[in-house]
Amino acid sequence: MDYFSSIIGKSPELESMIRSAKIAACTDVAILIKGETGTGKEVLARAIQKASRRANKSFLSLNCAALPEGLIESELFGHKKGAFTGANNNSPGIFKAVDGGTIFLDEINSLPLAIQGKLLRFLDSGEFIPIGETIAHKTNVRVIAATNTDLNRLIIEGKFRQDLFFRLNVVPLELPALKKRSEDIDLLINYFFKYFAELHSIPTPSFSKAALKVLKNYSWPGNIRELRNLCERLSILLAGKTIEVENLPYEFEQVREINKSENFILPECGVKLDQLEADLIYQALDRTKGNRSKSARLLGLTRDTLLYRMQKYGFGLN
Amino acid sequence: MPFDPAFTSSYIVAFAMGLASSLHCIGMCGSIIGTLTLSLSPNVRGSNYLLSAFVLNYNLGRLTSYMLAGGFVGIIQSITVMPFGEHGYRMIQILSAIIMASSGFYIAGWFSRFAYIEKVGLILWKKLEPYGRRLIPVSNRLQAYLFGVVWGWLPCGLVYTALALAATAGSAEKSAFTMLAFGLGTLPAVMGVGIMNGVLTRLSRMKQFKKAIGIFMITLALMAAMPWLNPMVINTHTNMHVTNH
Repeated sequence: MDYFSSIIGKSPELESMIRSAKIAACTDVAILIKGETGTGKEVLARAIQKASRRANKSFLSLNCAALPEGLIESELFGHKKGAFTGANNNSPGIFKAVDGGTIFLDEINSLPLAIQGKLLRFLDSGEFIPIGETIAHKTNVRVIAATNTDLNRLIIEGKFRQDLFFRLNVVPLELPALKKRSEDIDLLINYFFKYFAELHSIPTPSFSKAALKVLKNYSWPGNIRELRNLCERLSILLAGKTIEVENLPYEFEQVREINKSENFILPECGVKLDQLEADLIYQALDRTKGNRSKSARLLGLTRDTLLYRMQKYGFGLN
Repeated sequence: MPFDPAFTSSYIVAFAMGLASSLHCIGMCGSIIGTLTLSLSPNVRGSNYLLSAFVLNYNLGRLTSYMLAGGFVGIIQSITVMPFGEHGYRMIQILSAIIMASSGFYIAGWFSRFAYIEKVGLILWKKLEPYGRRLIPVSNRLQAYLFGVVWGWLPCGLVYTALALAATAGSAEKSAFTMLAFGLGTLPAVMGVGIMNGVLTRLSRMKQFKKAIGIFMITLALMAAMPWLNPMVINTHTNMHVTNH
């Protein structure tokens, strides 16, 4: 059974990452999943757990950013009754509760430095000391961590321990952003439309070619999560219909305008081409603060052509 | 223009290709070797001697597969090209150069679609990969070697580039040794990843470094397509069957 079939896509980048993940899944080593928000880090972590020897044991997903800083140590490693105000009972902590299983620590970059040290010790020896105790406890838990920020930058800023990074980064798995694998958008759309059609018992809609083009040119800051939400919304609102560019939400407006501008329509009154060209060159130079290479790229010209036209319209080359 | 296959069949070129390209794919093979190393028992990991023996066996297995693939490509080449003589050889030489140049553009970041070449080996990999997973956790050196044999068939555009080079070697034996030279070139990066992980990863991520490696590969491709341009050519292959036509 292919547990990784939940990760939809055929792009070489993704397939290569899945190949590494399958090998890593068979082992017990700690894994670091990197990827922008919404790229499917938790889906990957679950697939790894299901493909591992710990598949029948518990899996716990924990977002480190969602836990209050004062509680995180107690949540992870447990505490003894009376260890601090409000510790009315003994708490085993998540690591003890998940013994034999897998823990997924999402947004590990949000983990406070002091806890990072404790986690490093746990990864090295499997041991930890609950708050208020003096004896180390031992558990057998596999850690899969995930980050949506560059940990190297955090190390430089002193916000993340380098030794913990090296310990986790043995098997780095990087989920590509959706904009980098636009060829997978069709597959994902088909998958989500089918899924929501079954979930809500409604007919499947489809995208027109123009709408699909807009989707493929969009930057997808929310990645697959954003695409999933869009598919659910459109599945319900336009069930069984063909979705046109006009049906797409406001955030796609900019892409729509770019696509439209590819087919510039000459106004009835005509244009003064020289004036328009000079104006566009001026705007490009203004936007790039006079950088001629960048301006040429903005206008779709070579640098030499831009320089020639700048001379033609009397722009000062210096 | 005298026909001279010396450059493309040079083991030095294959070794250099392995050395340069392997730094690029630290992310893939580096994480595999990291996984394998950390999944070994603490006794093995605690002993430098035992650990080196396991890592060496993984890589020997990988090199065995490379040689097998090289030999296979050599046999295919001799069957398909031999009837066309020197012209056929020249065709395969140019095809090889195109693949090498494409991989150079890919490494430099100018041709990301080259990665689709990995689809070529996907069917074989899907059949082999479950056998590899059954060997994990690796507990003895034979298992390490066998895992390496499976690992050697991992779809990789750069290995396929080396195979394209090996196809121009002129015989199955030479193709196999060309792949061995390529594999030996990859050893420093893949084996060194455990020791110098940080340095190698940083190096492999530097854009300028990638561009330099890409340009190096493109230069190799140009020299492969036009061997008479290469100042280092020492004709050591005059007895090749293609020259007898």
